[in-house]
Amino acid sequence: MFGGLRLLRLLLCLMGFALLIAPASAQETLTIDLASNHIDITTGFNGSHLTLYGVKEKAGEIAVVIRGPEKEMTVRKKNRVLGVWMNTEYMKFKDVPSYYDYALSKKIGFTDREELMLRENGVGINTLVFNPNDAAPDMERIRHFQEALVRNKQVHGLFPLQAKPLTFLNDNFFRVTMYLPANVPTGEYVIETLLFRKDKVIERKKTTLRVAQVGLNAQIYQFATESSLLYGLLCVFIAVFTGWLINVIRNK
Amino acid sequence: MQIYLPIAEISVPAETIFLLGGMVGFLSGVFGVGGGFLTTPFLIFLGIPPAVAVGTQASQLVASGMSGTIGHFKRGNVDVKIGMVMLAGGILGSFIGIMIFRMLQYLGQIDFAVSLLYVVLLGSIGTLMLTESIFTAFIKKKTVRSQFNSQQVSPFIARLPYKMRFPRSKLYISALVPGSIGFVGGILASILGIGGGFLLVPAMIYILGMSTILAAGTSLFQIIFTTAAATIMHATMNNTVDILLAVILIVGGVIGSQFGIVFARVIKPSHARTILAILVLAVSIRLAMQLLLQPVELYSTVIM
Repeated sequence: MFGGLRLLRLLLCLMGFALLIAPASAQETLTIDLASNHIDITTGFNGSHLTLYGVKEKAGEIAVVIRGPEKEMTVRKKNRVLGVWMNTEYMKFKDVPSYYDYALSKKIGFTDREELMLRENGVGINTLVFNPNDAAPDMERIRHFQEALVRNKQVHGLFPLQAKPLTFLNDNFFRVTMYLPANVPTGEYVIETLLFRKDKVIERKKTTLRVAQVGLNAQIYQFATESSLLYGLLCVFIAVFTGWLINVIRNK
Repeated sequence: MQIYLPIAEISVPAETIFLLGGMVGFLSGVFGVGGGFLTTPFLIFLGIPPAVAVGTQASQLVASGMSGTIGHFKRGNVDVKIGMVMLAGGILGSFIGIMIFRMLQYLGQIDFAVSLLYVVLLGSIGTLMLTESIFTAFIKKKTVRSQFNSQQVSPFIARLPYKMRFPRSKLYISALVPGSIGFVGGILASILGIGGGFLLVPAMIYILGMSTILAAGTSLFQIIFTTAAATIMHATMNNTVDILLAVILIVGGVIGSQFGIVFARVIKPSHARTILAILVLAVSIRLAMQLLLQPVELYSTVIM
């Protein structure tokens, strides 16, 4: 019995070792890394660039897709009611990425099958199709709201107008730069890189990016959400104190 | 200089916010108004979510109410007893106002409701002020002040229960009346982010029969508490008070009000009133246009 346990331990050890060396021995065809795996929103934050580096060891094209945390969005439409414009219609969409952008090494000359493959893998503006929460049968209406949602996101710089360029520093080494605007939603972003040839994905790599407030901003946010009563009282105190101060200055 | 607001979660130009605070401070220095009616629409125009604009504005009103009240208090222009009754109604009004605000937000009608209320309130007040200042420019009315004070309380109000004595204002009136005036003030503070002095003061003069100066001081006194309650409720229930935004607005306001006070000594009071009336009307026309003209983009999106 004692010997059996020892054997088991040895086996486990070997298995662990095998797992450790396995990735190194496998054929790595795509390696990616972010210049920084976090975007810090400080008080002076006014948008930020995001740079991804990658090396591919096989021939093929590269696609990079970045998605912000998914949110439920409501799209409202204004109509004229008694002479004034007010929201009267709405449609809800589930699982809308709060941010989306993509880059492609090949920009033109896609075959139909390649386009299909890209679409299936969520690459491109026309993959930004969302399902309305209440399945209304009117396809035309859904299309209008859907387009409005994408347009609105594009205006705020949260969805792209077209594919970003991908820079090759040599045959295998590439770089992508994307821009996260000042109003970028916070949360965990997923960046997926695809290596594809013809209409086949050879390899895919995922990495994550954390977008969060830091420093004073993070402290204020945390304080305001975790001890909101105290925060409210502090705001009132500051206001009362300043009001008093104005009066003192005025009387001098 | 762009500054990222931690609660509003957007980046705004700090100078613009500072200037806005300064301008509102200037107005309060010249005219003695809170200026909330200007701040809230401008903040929304700058892209700050309406909920954050209103919530933050409430804390700024505490500051301007405080600075105004101290002066009135020293001169004995505050009826604390009637103020207390009003603020009891005011705090209840704030609570209900926040509920209404949340409901309107859920229905997607908050922008519309805020704009419409502003148009109606500012439009009517502005028109009244402008016609009054034009009239006084031509006709010298001597009896206006005495008319205010000899105002008889209407029989309906005289019959209401829970009568109280308010010695400072020389009134014997049902507590329900000042209470409901405060209640309306509280609703306005929490939905529109305004102190509502421009509505409360006339109501106190005409409905309660208080003297003008006592009404002004008492209304400011109760505004402090009503807006303080609104601030705390916005902070705890909605998380929509942005302290950084409030501080920039308040600091701008402190500096602006100093210029305003200097300017007030130079300008004729009647001219000042006319300018204020035009300003109030301009804001209401701007908001009315927004409601009446077809927007470029009919669709808008929000995260639920």
